[in-house]
Amino acid sequence: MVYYNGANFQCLTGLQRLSINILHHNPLYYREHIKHLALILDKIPSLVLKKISFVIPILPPTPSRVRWHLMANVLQQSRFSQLTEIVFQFIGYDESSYGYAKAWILEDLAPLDERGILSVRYN
Amino acid sequence: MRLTKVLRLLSTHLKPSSLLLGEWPIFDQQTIATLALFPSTERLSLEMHHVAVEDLRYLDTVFVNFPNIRELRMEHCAFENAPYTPDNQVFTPRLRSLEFINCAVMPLLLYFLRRQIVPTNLFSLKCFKPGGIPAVGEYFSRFGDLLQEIQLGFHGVSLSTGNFTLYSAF
Repeated sequence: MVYYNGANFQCLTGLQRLSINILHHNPLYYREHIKHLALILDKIPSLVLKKISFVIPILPPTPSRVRWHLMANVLQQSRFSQLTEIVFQFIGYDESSYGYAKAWILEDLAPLDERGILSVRYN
Repeated sequence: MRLTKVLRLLSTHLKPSSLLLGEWPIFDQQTIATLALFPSTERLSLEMHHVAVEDLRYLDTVFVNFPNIRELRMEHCAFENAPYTPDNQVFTPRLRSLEFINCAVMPLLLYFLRRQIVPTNLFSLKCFKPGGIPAVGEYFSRFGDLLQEIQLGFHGVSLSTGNFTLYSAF
């Protein structure tokens, strides 16, 4: 954590739309990425956040189960009740693991899916 | 010189709302002056591959010459870490969007911090290096209540050190 110095996400009190793109990745750190995306969301205090989108590299071809429950826990807090859309867009050349990724997100973020605000896409 | 003449001729016929300056010869005062020929520009893209501008006041010149600018996109821009004192007489743009792509955020973002330039809509940082995190933190700390939309593009892993770039976001 050489570069740890704080981006002060806790100051984003009026944020309405947030997009985070992970441009390339090492599969070894996939779970860490998800964890830190959730931690970023958890720091944002805005009560008017309406849209969140993530662009994430596609999982390895034979992925082991990835859990999104930490993000689910964060997004189910009352301050995210204004959310009208959350998008997960997977990018990459190998589509074979997209089915897994989508199923796991829909399962772990089921409450958001039931609210009709969850989208999972590929490319 | 020929370029300048061409631009002057073009300016009599063209009133562009968008302008992309790629590999612009920014150190030449004469060509900088030609920027003023297109005051209608609302969307400006600056691409400065392979050069690091010595003086942040270059951006003062840009804004003075584009009084109608509303959207600024900067790609591969780097500035020397030289002292900068804002000139309060210089025109301050009212930007809708401010985008940095593959830019050395430090000290670039500090220019916008000191000039108090905050986009009313989109603030975008893509492919910024971890060394820029303190500047981002300072900018969010100062203007976080005004920012409505943020786009962040991370490299998942810092290739040089193995440390997560995402870590540095905290």
